[in-house]
Amino acid sequence: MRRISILAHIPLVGLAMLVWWVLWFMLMGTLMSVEELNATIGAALHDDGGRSFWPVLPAWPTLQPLARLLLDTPHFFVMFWNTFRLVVPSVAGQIVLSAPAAWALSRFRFRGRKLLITVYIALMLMPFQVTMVPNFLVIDRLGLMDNVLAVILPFAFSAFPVFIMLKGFDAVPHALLEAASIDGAGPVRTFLHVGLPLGLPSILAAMVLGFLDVWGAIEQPMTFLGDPSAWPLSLFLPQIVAEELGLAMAASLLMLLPAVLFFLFGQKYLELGIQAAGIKE
Amino acid sequence: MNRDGVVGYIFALPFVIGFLFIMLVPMGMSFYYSFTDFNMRPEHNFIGFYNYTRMFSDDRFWNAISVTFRFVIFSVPVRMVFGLLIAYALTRKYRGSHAYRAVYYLPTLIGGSVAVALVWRQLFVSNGVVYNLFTFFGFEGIGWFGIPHLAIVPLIVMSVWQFGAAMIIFAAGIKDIPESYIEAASIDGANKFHIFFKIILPYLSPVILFNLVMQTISAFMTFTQAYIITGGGPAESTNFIALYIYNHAFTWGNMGYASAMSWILLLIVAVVTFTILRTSRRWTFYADEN
Repeated sequence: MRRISILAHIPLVGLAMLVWWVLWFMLMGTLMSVEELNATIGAALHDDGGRSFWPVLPAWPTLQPLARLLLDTPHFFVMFWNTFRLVVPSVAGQIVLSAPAAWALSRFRFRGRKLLITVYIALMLMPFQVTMVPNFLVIDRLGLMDNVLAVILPFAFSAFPVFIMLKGFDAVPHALLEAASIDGAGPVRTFLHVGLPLGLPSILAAMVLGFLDVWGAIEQPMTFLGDPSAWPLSLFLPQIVAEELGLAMAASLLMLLPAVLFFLFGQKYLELGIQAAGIKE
Repeated sequence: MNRDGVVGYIFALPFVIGFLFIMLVPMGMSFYYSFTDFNMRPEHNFIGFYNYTRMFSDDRFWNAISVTFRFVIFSVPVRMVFGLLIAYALTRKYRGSHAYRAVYYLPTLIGGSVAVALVWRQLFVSNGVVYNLFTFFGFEGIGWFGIPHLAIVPLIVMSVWQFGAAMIIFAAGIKDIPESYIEAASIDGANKFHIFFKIILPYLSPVILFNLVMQTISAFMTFTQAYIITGGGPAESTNFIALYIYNHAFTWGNMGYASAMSWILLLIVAVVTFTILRTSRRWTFYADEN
């Protein structure tokens, strides 16, 4: 691997700073005391004509907001738990339902296969609002309103994971499947022992993207969960910001934690998923 | 039917059944309700095409459509150009090129989240950080969210800020271009500029098409930013169609009207996508053709 001149790094580092600027502010906001926050960026909120600015480094770094959030805000943990209660079953459902379906679409030539793939892609590209109103109607009919299932079910049957895994399974070499069938493995065993292990990167990619998708979701819980005690973190955040800036900063930072962790430890799968799905927002 | 077919059906069945109930049945229902005055009460009347004709005289609907188009037209191309140029700048393998790529797409990963939207609001608000940055450099401070024709700007900037996904897809596409093509060209004396326009761009055109379609569709659906940052205001200048539909359905309870608008939105997205695909024949090249 070769080196490039220091000069070439300047624009790259500059861009990195531009891109991370916002995140840096968020981190610094977490490290400031209430007084300092109010004195610096607080002016923008109170609209009392004061000037607001965001210091590059806090004058008196403190873990006060973080400590307050973690020690004095018990409902924060409830929200955290609520989020997991939505995320874990949704992602588990996605994998259990999508993996066999993607395998079938990739490996078996059955009637209607082409049509199914076309319908998947069409529905995947459909604006969320188009499906949300009808989803609401069905969930209401099924009596699932205010039930976590109302959020979990539409996610579990999302078409995106099928699409991501389809690409992964398509790459499994045919020779391996023939070898398995010569060895007497039935379709289920072939799927479990050949398909799943070889398709694992794309399954993990689907899981990572699915996790982030549900983790940050606001429309669905907002629409389907009326009771604030069942709300996930993503809905909790807009509520606290007005009253408690420091708390909001700390909570925001924790909210971003899973994305950052996936980014640090699952980068390969993230990039794979983004390439397959075409988008991640 | 052959054995393969049966097994295929069995594998796909759980998903397909759920899918029918979660997607297709509801879509049918929404199509039906788009011809009614359904507003969450059990009784509703069939009102023919009224919801559809109502849209034509609904100024707020047209405003939402035009705001959404403005957002798509400005944010998608800029974001893609950013993604492409940076992907190209990072193609050569050198120390740190991978790390840079990673650094650049973190915002995309977290950009759609409420947390970032909240910080964004604080940055651009009147008397906020950006405002004071402007005044610091001697420009007039702008309270972005207070001025109707400017309120969309921070939202577009935020969208461009999330160029990471486009970059990743472009980077993968550039990696697939055989090294020998570029080497041959540079031996023939082509400079970087030439290589980019004569080799990279044509070779990447299918990837550009894929990116363009996906980014455009997702830009049409933009909701969170407007909902959290501006709430659609001021004076509806950021009232994206997705937000307008949401409000009709869930704030004002006009399910029938919201359903009809959803179908029109779908139609618009379909027409735009189709148009892009149609014109793409003139500017995309596939390697095996030539």
